[in-house]
Formats: sequence, structure tokens, C-alpha cells
Amino acid sequence: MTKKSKHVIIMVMFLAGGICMSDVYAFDDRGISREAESVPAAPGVLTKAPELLKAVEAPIPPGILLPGESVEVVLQIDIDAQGKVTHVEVTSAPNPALDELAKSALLLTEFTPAEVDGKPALVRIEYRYRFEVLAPPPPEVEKPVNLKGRVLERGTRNPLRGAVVYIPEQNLTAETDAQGHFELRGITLGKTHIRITELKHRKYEITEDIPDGQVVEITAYLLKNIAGGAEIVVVGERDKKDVVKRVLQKEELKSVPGTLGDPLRVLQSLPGMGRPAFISGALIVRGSRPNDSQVLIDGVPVPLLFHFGAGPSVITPSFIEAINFYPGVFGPKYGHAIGGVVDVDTHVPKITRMHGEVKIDMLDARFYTETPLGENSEYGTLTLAARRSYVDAWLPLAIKAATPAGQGSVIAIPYYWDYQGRYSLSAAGHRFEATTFGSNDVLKISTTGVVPAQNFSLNSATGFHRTRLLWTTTLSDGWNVSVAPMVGTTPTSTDVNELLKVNVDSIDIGLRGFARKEFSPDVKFEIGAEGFASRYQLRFETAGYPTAADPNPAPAVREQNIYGGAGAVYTEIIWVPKQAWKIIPGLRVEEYKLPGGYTTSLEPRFAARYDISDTIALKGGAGLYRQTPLPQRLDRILGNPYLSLEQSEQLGGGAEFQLTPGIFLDMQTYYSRRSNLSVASRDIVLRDGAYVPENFNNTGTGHAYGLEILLKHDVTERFYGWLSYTWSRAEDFNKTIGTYVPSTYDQTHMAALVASYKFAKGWEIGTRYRMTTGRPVTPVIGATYDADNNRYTPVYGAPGSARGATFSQLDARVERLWTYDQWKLAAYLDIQNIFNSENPEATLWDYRYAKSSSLRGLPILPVLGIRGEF
Amino acid sequence: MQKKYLYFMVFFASLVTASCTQFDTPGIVKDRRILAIQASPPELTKATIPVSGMVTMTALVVEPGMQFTTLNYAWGYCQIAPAAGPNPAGGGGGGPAGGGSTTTSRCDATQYRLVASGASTAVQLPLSQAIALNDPEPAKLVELLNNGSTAPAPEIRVQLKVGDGVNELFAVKKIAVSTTNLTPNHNPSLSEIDIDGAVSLPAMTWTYGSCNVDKRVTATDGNGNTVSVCTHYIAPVVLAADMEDYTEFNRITGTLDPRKERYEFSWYADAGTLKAETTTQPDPRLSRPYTEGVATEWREPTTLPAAAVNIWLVVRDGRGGVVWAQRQITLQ
Repeated sequence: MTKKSKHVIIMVMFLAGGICMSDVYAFDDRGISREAESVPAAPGVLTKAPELLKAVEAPIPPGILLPGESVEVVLQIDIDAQGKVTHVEVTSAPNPALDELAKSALLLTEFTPAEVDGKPALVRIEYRYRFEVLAPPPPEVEKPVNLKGRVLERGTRNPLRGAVVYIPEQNLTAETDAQGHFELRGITLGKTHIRITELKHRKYEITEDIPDGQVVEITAYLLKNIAGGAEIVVVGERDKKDVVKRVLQKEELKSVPGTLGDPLRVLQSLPGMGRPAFISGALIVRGSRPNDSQVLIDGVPVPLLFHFGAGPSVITPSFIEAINFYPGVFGPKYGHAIGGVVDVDTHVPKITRMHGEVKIDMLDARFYTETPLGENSEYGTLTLAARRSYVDAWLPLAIKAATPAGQGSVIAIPYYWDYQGRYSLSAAGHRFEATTFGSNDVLKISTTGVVPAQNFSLNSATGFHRTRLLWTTTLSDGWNVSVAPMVGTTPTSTDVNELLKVNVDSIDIGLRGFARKEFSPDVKFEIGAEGFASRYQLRFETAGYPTAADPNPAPAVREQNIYGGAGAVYTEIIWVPKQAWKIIPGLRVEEYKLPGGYTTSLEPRFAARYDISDTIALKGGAGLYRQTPLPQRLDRILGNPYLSLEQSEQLGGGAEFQLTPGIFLDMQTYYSRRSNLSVASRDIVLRDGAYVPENFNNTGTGHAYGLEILLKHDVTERFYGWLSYTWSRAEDFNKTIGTYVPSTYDQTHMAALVASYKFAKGWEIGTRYRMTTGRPVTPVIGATYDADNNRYTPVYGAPGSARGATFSQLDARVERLWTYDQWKLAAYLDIQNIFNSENPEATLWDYRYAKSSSLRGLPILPVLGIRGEF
Repeated sequence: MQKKYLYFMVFFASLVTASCTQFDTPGIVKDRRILAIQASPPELTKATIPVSGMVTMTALVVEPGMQFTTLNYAWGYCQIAPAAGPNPAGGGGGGPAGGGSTTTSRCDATQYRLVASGASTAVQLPLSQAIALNDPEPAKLVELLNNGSTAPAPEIRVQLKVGDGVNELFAVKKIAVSTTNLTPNHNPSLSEIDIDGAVSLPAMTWTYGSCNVDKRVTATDGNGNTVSVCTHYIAPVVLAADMEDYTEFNRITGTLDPRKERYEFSWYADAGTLKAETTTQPDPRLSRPYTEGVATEWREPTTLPAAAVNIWLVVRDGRGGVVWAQRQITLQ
């Protein structure tokens, strides 16, 4: 408010001649008002008094009046027939300093003409001009805060922003800030009813006693409308550039029935993914061998995906944010795989407080924590997780109990542990991460039979440890760059009967980086590089044979270092030549270091997409893919160091349909031709000047083709689910009979239905049903006694000419979540094979292949577990 | 997936899916079986190749009670092209002309050539047949060995088919051929079979169920009744000097390592049960007595058998050498 506006001026007008007619004008919002009296001029009769049209406010010089003081100046003014003030004369001046101010102001004042006898005429009126300096309003007495607090989500303690805190009796409200804080003032003392509401949470009501002179502080924990409901994070649509890329979100990864909460096993319910035997986690992608597909964790290849090959995955589920699954025809960013690629994104916490989880089930116990460093994570976030099994505590007892007396004993002590850690920092447009993870499996088996000489012992350990650094930023010229070096070790050891000891340890280093830029809305470009190198240290030790000449021989030892590695550069362009079209050419050039020398591999990739409409799109692609054979097949004695790269040429195409905003249909066809595959050989070859067992060669070929359908419902707060179906054929060329036969991993029909729904009161019920065609079987039609080895050798029929039984299994999962103020507790029952279907996995034969029986699959297997989150 | 994990998985799966299927065990002879084939000599070298070029094959064919009704037999012969490998027996050098070509170390069923056959109810057991080393190029094999060539040696397989017109049994025996000057293998020696601490005779008569209390065990008979039966300790008697020294290619280290034979003992009976059907001498590297763990126990049938019980022991040296012995026990 200006100084001028602090003045109120009241003007009173008198019409010359003394006949009174009064009008009161009250205006304006600037605080000015005036009143006037008019007197008609002689000799006519005043028929209309002048009316103020435009008032002029006179400024008051500082110091003339005090706040709250007022002065009236009385003046006589003449108003002509046009309403103009023509003459002003002061008749009373209590403060001479204001005379001229009043006069000047009035000379600029305008009126409506007065009328005498009905005609405009000159009149004289008396005008009172009041100068007044208003006293400033008394300061508002702010009532004290007597209720404050914080509104958090129950169970997670996440602050709720925008929650309304309402005192109904007094009509007072407050809204929480980003940290969930609120304050209320002037609440009447005594019992006060408080109501807190937020859109996605249940209403919270409480009565508090508000005492005099005190501030009552409360923390309200609001329960989610759907306990444990999924946090739906809507992210910007990514470039749809892959022919097939299936993404599973966190919510879909942790509660699919039959997976024991293991995210990576959820993949087995997707199209294109074959079913491995028993509970194995082997990835059988489009009929390819498990080692044809690569698994990456944050871009880092991992040598072992599941503990003991069939146990839980080597990474704690909470550490996983999403799984990206490329069953084929993937872009040049990925290499070293002729099947598919699974790229696991780990969880980057966006938190302001510590969060954690503890889980205990029959197999293991694990924890997960994420902690902000600094008030607002300004120093980054730290995530830690670890797991340790305790199968070794109960399995020996179970085996002992199941072993009949006098049958000897078996002691099996398997245990595993793994760990993950991550430090993340985002600052000034840069992102830095340090991630470390590792795993170790230890297996000790010893058998004590009825014949001491046949006792057997095995001690083995397999582990890996990886540490990756990541720096990524967007430069001023628009380039988004990322660099991620990696270092790790992979130790393995095996000791059989203390007679044979094998150690294979590797030191692994790697580097991955890319730079990408959007040159225009129509052209995006990415170039990247990837390299890794490993030094394998092989050590074989066998106990020496005592002879008469040397009764205590030293162990025979062979040590060998094998160097392997590869370096690749790749480039990819996303080009939009026309609206609705997207063309993505790419090329990967890789240099492999194999024991037999260097090999350069050119791997072109191509994909295209055409959006017919907003809801329908066509897509297709092709690519060439290569990989090295398994490392052990490159050993110079047990393998073949001259094996070359294995190869596949892949074609894929299909259509996408967005049936409703939440339901998506994807249909894919594919063809993959595999060649140069390393296969076992019993031949003898001349190698490096000597005849040696060939062990393996590159003569394997095969192909696979099929159709995949995925009908998927998006994750909502309550529901997720999908239906998948795959028809496929995977065949290998059999050189003996000169034709293609079904490969070991061929499964003609694979169907899966997954659905999970969250009910009220924290109940969640889910189910999964799977049906797959049985695996190909080569029938046994007889047996020949091998008199040298005292065993029978089966005589096989036509390769792959029979099928195992169809697999059909229903799994179910029930979880009850209890949400407490500061933590949550969940108990779940996961039942695999709820109908206890036989699902034979293999055929057992007697010693001479005359009688057989089926080795049934997993029986009904209920698993109870509890999980706590804080 | 690493193999050891696969084994563990199958092992674990077997525990949780334990099948109730009970198969016959190989040690109890319930029908006609071929238990062993002996080649004499078991390894052909310059030193052992017979002047006649003939190798004598003998087969242990058995039936419960040894009551053969009909016994048809046929011997087949297959010689595989030379396969020069790292096996010292193969000469450690040389190889097919032109080097780099490959060979396959197997004979499929169609490659066996019939060399002898017979059908009779009165065949002499064990079946014995002299096989001529004359296929396909006898001169070359004999010449190869006699000339002391270091060229890779061929492999020889002999197949025996035994049948009664309805069921046919097949067995295959490999005859090692070595062009080196190393000492050839011989069939093992079995001095005695020790039963209950005494040297056994080929045929013995015992009193059923007669034994010390500490040799008695309870068993369930075919009707589900619990009965008390006697067990008998049976052990082979072999001499340390009988186990030959030899060298073997170590696939781990890539070197030729000295070895000592380690016998495997396969036990069979046509009645009763055996505690262990296969026993083995300890690994020599474990510094344990070579006689440890070779014995087994035979448990008498739960009912008095009508006929004499046959017990067979087949000894293998792991290098193709075989010998066997039979004991017949009449329980009264």
C-alpha cells in the first residue's frame, strides 16, 4: 500500500445559493469518498445538481498530517455549463499548506453540468475537501501453532504430499508439503477431532486433546486403499525399436506363483521360453541351448544365473527393477549370444529415508536395505543386500532319515550365498554408480557305502564377483554418453575323493560405453563399444600313483593359462523417414580372441516398424549373431582349442495390437538357422602334429521356427496377468541319418496363464498354469552287454522319434499382508503343482534296459515364507 | 549348466520325487545272462599275437540252476580302421596317411561279420570259440604287429549273440591291439574264493540256516513273513604280484603315468541276495591295503532252495583282462 493510498479524502459540496440537495458519492476502491450539496443559482430554479464525474486526489506532503489525523478545507467552486470547474476559492483553511493542494485538485475535477430550469447552467457550490491520513490497521494477531505433524504412508513411511488435515468443528484445514508436514493454528483448546484424507489412502481420524500453551505433534500413518497395491510408475514411452522386447516390471516379478518369488523364473512363463526339467532355471529360448542365451546384470555378463544351476537366482529379487527379455532379433548393442538376451536392470532407489526388507523361507534368509546419504540424498544412495542358505542345516538330516538302515549313508552339504551393493549419485547432470555383486555355491557330498573302497567324496565351490562403475551424462551439445568399466573374478574348484583337484579361476575385466544423440526428431544415432578379457588359470592336480620305485609320488600337476576376450564396436540409427515408419539399421563388429587365434565377426542387424494406427503396428527384423563355444570346450586336452565361432541367422516379424488402454496383444513369428555349433565328437584327429581325440567340432547345425502370442494386461494397483502361447519347432541336423530331428530343447506347444489379484484387507491370490509338450525322446529298443565295463549299453531307435509326456501344472500363491505403522509383514504360501500332476521328467531303466519306469516331476510342493519390510 | 550341478539337481530331485519302482539288481541271476567274455590273450602285441592269428574267446553264459533248454549262439567280428590316438597302446605316433583324417572308434551292428555259430542243448559251457584275426585284412594286422610298426593299431570288437529263438542277448568285447613294445596285458589271476574264512571248493554242501548267531539276520520271505537266515562272508583271494603295472595316458595332465591294476569284482548268485554286488580294490593312491573292501556277503534264500545255488565271481582288471570262478552250494 502506497503512502497516498493511506489517505482518505472526503469532499463535501455546497451549491452556491444555499438550496440544499444532497447526493452522496462513495467511491472508490482507493478509499476516496465525497459528498456534495448543491444550491441553484439565481435567477432560475436548479432542476439538476451537478454530479461528480472525475475526482482528483491531492497528494499530501510528508509530515503535514499524522496517521489518524484529518483536515477539511472548505472551498467555493464554480462549475460551468460543461461541468468544468472554472473557479476555486478557499473559504476555510485550517492548514494553509493544504489550500493550494485542494485548489489544484479541484480545478482538475469534472462534474456533470448542473441544470437550471432544465437547461445546463453555471453554478457555484461549496466543496469540502478532506485530507486524512489513515492510521495503519492494527497488526493481525497471528494465532499460535498448536497442532502440527506429519502424514506418512502406513507400512512404508513414505511421506504423503497433498494430504488434507481437517478440523471439522472449527472448519480449519491444512495441506501437507512434500515431506508430509503440516501445521494448524488457533485450534480451540480441548478435545479436537482431526480428519486426514488423501486420494489413494484411507481416511484417518483421531481425537486429540489440545492443551493451552502447548503444541501437539502427531504422526499419522495412512493405509493405502489397496494394501500392498502396486506403485504404478508411468514413464515416457521409449523408442519402440526392438522387434521383440518383453519387459516385466517389479510388481510382476516378485509374486508370480510357482516361482518362489524369484524374478528370473518368471521368464519361463513368457512366449518363446521353453520349460526346463524339474525346477531348473535354464533359459531355453526359442529351442536354443541354454548357453546360447546371455544374461546380463546391468550390462555385466554373469557366469551363473542360479545357485547350483537350479536354485534361487544369484541376485536378490528386491535388487531387481525390471527384466528386459529379447528372445531374438535383438539390436547390435548385444552380442555373444546366438539365442536370446536377458538384461536385468537393478533397482535405483529414489528415497529420502532408509528402507529395507527381510525374507525367510525354507531355503534361505536374506535382507535388503536402501539408505539415502544426506537429508535429500545429496550424497547419493546406498543399497545393500545379501542372502545365505541354510539347506546345509536340514538336508543331511533329511537324507539320513530317508536312507534305510544298512544302505550306507550320503552326506550332502550344499550352501550358497550372494551379495549385492550399489552406490548411486546424481548431481549436476551427471550420474555415477558403483555396483558390486557376487555369488558362491559350495557343495560337499560324501557317501559311505557298504563297501569302503567305493566311498565317494566331492567338494566343489563355484563363485563369481563383479564390480562395475558407471558414469553417464548429457553433454551440452546433446550427446548422451555413458562409460562403464568392470572388473571381476570367477573362482571354481572341485575336489573328487581327494584324488583329483581342478581349479579354474579367471580374472575378468570389461568396458562398455555408448554415445547417443537425437540429431532431429527423425534421426537418432547411437554408437557404442564393448570389450572384455579374461585370464583363465587352470590347475589340474591328480594324486601320484605309488610304484615300487617311488612309493610316495608327488601329485601330477598341470597348470595352464588361457587368455580369451573380445572387443566390439556397434552403431545403430533410428530413422523415421515418414510418419508411422521407423527403420533401425545397425552393425556390430567384433574381434574375438580364441585359443586358435583372432577372429573378426561382422554382425549386421536390422529392424523396421510401421504403425498402422495408434493401436496397431507391424514390425520385423533380421540379424546375424555369433558367440564363442563354451570355454571348457576350448581346452587343448579335454576340448578343442581350434573351435570357431557358433552362429545363428535370425528372422522375425509380427504385429502389435493395443486392444484397450490396458490390454496388449503381441504376435510374433520367427526363424533361426544355427550353424557351426560345437558338438561332441568321438573322432581322432591330427592336431598340432599328434593324433588326439577331437572331443568337439563345429559341425552342428540346426534351425528353429515358430509363432508366439502374448496377451498381456498392464499392471494395475490390484491386478496383473498375461496369457502366452508358443508354437515352435527346433531341430538339429543328424549326420548319421542325414536329416533334421527334433532338438533336445524342442517343445511344440507352450502355454502359460498368469494372473494375480489383490483383495481387500491385504490378501493377494495368484495362479499360474503351464502346459508344454513333452521333450523329444530317442526310444531305447534294446541293450548290448559291454563285457569290458560290466554294463549294458542301450540300443537307440530313431533319434527324437518319441515324446515325453505332456507337462501340465497349476501353481497357486496366497499372501496376507499386515501393515503396521512403520513396517509391513507378509506371510505367503506358494504351492507348486497343486494337483500333484505326475509330469514325468525322465525314464528310469533297470540295469539292462529291459524294464522302465517314469521319473516323476516335482510333486505338490508347498512353501511357506515370511517377509518383513520396513 | 555345469555337470556337477546337473548331477546334484537330479540327485536332489530323486530325493523329493522318490519313485517306488524296484528294479531287479544285476547281481541276482533270474534268467539267461551273459556275465563275461574273456579274450585270450586280452591284448594283442608283437609278443602276444598267436602264430595262428587266432584269439580264443570264452563267454560265461548262465541261467538260474544252469538248466539250459536251448542255446543258440553266434560270434561276430569287427575290425575298426586304425585310430591313432594318444593312447600309448596306439603307438603314440603315425596315423592315417595324409594326417588329419578322422576315424570312428565304434562298430555298429551291421559291421559285425559272423565267424562262428551253433545251436544245441548240449553245448559246452562256458562257450569258447577261436576267432581268426582275419578280417578284413589279416595279413596287415599280423604284419603290423610282427613288423614292430609304430603305426596306429586297429581296434577289434567281438560280438556274441545268445538266444533261444525268442529272446536274444548281445554282448560285445573289445580286444586291445598295441603296436608298442610295452608289456602286454594278461588276464587277471584269481587264486581262490574265500568263504567264511576258508578256501572254498567248486561244489559244497551246507546245512541251510546253520551258522553262528552273529551271522544271522532277519529277512522277509515272499509271503511277508520275517525269517532268520544266515549270511556268509565271501572274498576273492588275489596276490599283489598278480596285479600288473602299466602306463596310461592321463587326459588331465597329458602325460603317460604309471599305473597298477585295480581289480573290480562282480558277484552274482541265482538265489539268495548279495550285500554288495560289485566290490573294488582301493585306489592305490589312497595308501590302503589292496585287499580292503573286496569282500561281500551272500545271504541264504529265505526258503530252502530246491536246487543247488550258483555263485559267480567275475574279476576285471580294467584293461580288458577277465577271469571268473563259480561255486555251487547245495543247501540241505
